Amino acid sequence: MRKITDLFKCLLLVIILVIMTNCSTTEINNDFTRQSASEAKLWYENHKDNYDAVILNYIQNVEWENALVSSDNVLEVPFTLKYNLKISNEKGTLHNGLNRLVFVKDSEQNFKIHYFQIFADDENSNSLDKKSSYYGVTDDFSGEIFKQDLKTNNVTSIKYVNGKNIQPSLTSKMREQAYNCTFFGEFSETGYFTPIKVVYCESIGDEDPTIGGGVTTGGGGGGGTGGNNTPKEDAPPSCHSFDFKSLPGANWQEALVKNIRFKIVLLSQSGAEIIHAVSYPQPISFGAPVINRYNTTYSAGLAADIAAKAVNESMKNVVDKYGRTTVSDLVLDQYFKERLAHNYNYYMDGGRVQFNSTSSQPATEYKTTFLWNDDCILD
Amino acid sequence: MIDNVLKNLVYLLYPRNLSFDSENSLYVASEEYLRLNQIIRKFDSEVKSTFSKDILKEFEDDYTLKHFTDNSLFNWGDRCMTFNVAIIEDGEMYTISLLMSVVIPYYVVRCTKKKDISLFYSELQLAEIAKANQETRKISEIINKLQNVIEDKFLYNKFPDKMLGLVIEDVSFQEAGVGHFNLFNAFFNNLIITRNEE
Repeated sequence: MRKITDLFKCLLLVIILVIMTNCSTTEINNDFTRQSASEAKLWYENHKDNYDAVILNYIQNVEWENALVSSDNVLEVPFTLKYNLKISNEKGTLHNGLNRLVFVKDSEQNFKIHYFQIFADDENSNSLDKKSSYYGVTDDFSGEIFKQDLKTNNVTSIKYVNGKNIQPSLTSKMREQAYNCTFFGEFSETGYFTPIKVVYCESIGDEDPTIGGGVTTGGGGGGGTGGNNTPKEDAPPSCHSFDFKSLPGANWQEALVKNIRFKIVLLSQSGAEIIHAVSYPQPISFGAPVINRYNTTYSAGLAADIAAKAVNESMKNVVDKYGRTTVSDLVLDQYFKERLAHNYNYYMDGGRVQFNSTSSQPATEYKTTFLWNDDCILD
Repeated sequence: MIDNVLKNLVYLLYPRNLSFDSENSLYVASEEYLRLNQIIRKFDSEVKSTFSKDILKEFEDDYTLKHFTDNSLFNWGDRCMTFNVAIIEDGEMYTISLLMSVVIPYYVVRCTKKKDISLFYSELQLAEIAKANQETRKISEIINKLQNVIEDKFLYNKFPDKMLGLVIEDVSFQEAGVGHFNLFNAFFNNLIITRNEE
């Protein structure tokens, strides 16, 4: 009996000691973290304008209160992105991205800033939770981690499979694409990623990375491609496609655009997927008033902005209605015409659209854009 | 009965069983198209400017309708005169359009809400506009007045709503392909209207 009570007393003592030391360690850690965070925060506020990395323009909120110290002179701070943007690669296969600003203090009490992105493979997404730090990735982590040095903007990436660092051999790397980029964009409900703007690219060699290689036309409204092609989301219309010119002596302005085009995934008679290009090589006229009764001028930039929105909406209408169905060119063509005539009139006060324009005004070439803030109003 | 009359009139002005898109050279050589074109050109060169002045003068004392602007697009092949005025009511922007056919003495008034007033005005600007606004009538009242004037002074009839969407099966013109060309397209313009919204 006595032995048991003694045992209990010992155990209790041990437990108390353990709790006490743990508490104090945590306390010390918290204080140290808070101190490091406020030091880094001060330095960041004073120096962030000296960096030109794209990511810095898209930071909504730096969560200093959730900072982690991962070793003596390394502080990792999570941050959120503006506009509810997500980050992935061009094909949208990178998921669950965590964003971290990583501050490394040097001997002169200055900081180096890095941008770390941690992507966990879906199957193992719980190997990484919101509070994980780069230096604390679990042993079974599978995914990819990108590190960007914000001074040089250089990026390196490392793949992990079950905690093991996979370094592809030089030859296999060169056989793959010459660049490995991540993009700001949006995930649809079905998991489809639309890239909008490049965050950075990791390059091998001196090639300048381009996004998607541009949109190609099929010949005159037809042109399907083989069923093995992955359908690529089109970039949306750029307002710079539209050059509105006021007509003399009339409260009216017009822009003519040729080669408006978009792609849609259709199904062949046998059910195979085909990518169909809908294109309008003939100029389409967009017309709108210049000034309204409240004395508001509809500038050429505003008219262009609204035209781009209406064109975008109309393309979406067609894809939403006929995507992955079996329809003829004619049906797609008619529906797009109806929707564009309706949408431009719906968005723009007094807006009108005419296909196969007979106007003698020179037509501009249709352009698309990946820029998040493509804007013509301030032009 | 009236729809038969109108249908027959359509066949005088638009060729049957010719696709505007794929058989365009035949289409524009047809006697129907030449006839339609002649009517529009004649109106544009001889009647349009007096007509337009008369319409605008009729409303020069109306707080809202005096701001009507002539946005007729005969060079786009429209079959009607178009007068537009914007109006903001309860924080929403509307376009009131008066369309007067040049082929038959019929008119249509469309009032469409714009998708997003914030594309044009900030909250602050809207507040300023509301403050300066002296229009006390609702849009429906304004439209009623508009219609009465067009009918009494210009002797135009309102085109029956029900018939606007009547499709003429074997005719096409501009954006309205075969099976999509209706009486509204025949006598007014190429906009496909869904519903009048007020």
